[in-house]
Amino acid sequence: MMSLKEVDLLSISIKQYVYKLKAYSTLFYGLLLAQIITLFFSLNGISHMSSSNGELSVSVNSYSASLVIVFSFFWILFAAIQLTTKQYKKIENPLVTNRISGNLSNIGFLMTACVFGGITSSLVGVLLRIIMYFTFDRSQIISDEFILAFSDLLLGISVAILYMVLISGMGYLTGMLTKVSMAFVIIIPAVIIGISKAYADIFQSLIKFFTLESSLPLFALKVIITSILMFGVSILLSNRGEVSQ
Amino acid sequence: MNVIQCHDVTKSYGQNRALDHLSFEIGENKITGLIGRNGAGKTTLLKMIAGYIKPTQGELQVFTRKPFNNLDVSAKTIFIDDNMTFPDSFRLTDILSEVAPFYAAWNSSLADALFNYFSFDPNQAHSNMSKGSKSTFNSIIGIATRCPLTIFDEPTTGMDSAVRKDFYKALLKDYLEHPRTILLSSHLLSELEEILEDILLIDNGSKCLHLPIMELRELAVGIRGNEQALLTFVEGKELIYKEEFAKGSLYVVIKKESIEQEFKHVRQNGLEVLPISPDDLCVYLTGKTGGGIDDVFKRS
Repeated sequence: MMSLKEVDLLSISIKQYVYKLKAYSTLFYGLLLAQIITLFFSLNGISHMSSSNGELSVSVNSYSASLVIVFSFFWILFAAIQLTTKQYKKIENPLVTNRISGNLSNIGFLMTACVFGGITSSLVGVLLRIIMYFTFDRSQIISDEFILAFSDLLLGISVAILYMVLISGMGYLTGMLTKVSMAFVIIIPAVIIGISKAYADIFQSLIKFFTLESSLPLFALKVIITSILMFGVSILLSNRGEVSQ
Repeated sequence: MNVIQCHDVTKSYGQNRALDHLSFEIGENKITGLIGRNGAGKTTLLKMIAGYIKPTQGELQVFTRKPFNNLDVSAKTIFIDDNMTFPDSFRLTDILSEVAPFYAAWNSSLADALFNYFSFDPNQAHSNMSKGSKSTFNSIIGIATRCPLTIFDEPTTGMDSAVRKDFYKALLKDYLEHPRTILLSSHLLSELEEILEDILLIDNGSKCLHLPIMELRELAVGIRGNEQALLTFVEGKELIYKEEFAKGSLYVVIKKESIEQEFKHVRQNGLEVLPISPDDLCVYLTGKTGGGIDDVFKRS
């Protein structure tokens, strides 16, 4: 009866991951719905330009699914922050858990959300092209990239996923910091704005460090290392002391 | 072997001490009732044992480990109260099937049988349930997990009396078949009395009593009679409780051992010895003022 059968952290974390995946399934439906809505907005063109000189008039509509991707970035940011809130933490209480397993399952959930968000938002771009192909006058479509090569699609998906991983790490860390002290709600934006004004060059190079990387493996490496650091700090922060019940 | 070892544990919230140098031990496979007034520190103590919060001072060990943030202790412990939160996307039946994989000894046929007995709607959401139904549902989880340490914090909140009785019966039956250490907190000792083995009474964060319920029943007696005669009789003895129930008549509660030799005198003096229920005794032991609520009305 008193046998101290050791439980293993990994198997508990995986059980929690599956539990959370089922629990937060609505988040995924929410993203799909939002992507479809954004798609309809994108069908009107994201920018419109026309000019005329009396005899000839030119009208250009630009179409792009980038809005959908931007939206997915916001979605993962809020999902990551939300996972750190007290309300979401409470659902772990009835389960077998400790701080580390809770964090690991959260990170697993976020990574799944990133993959899901990255794939769907890139596929929405394909869907946009298909809808345009069948509903628009094809002779009026001008684009080198209208027919998307499969390799480009894969590249797009990978990059979208990696960006989402990076953003989820930032969101999770932000959420954890605000658990340490609510002052971070003010400090974090203040520091970001402060650095961008006072040390504009450092801030620029920090952004360029990620956005101007042309090699996918190198970009992946940068994102993975940064994210591991951010999630690692988050785990350390949450493992520190007790969270008020 | 002790399942819970609590040595000189203090828990402070700012200036306020929820638990004050509390020490006790709870052995394996016992049903212990944690009794105390509102704000005595019952929930704080139970949450600490369940590993939700840390002691400020002192040492607490559950299964020979510190319970806070400990996965092994968490796997062997379940804490049931009416604040348990489940995802909104789960229906009641989903909750039972999703929680099950976490607990090695989970008995799903028992869970289903209890679920059907209390005629829950499988499709209902946990957050929409009434207080009593929620308590009943959470208790099903508490029984079915069969954790070596099962903790119930005020499990019967909101339950009607029929459900309460059923819950205690179900708990006792399952305990007899699968013994485990059970901790139940309540301020209603009367309804718990029959299933408890031990009782731990706390008051203002300190231990008041920790003894088998049988001993508690024998601990004290009430004596009633003429004020003068009674006062001379109990002179110099420690009174647990004193109440003037009518003009010139007095009622006192006193430890049995202190009057053991003088039982004859009691009757000679025209005094009446009355048994006292453990429930009343606990109230008297943790009373804030000697005279109880009546004092308030006498003064005003």
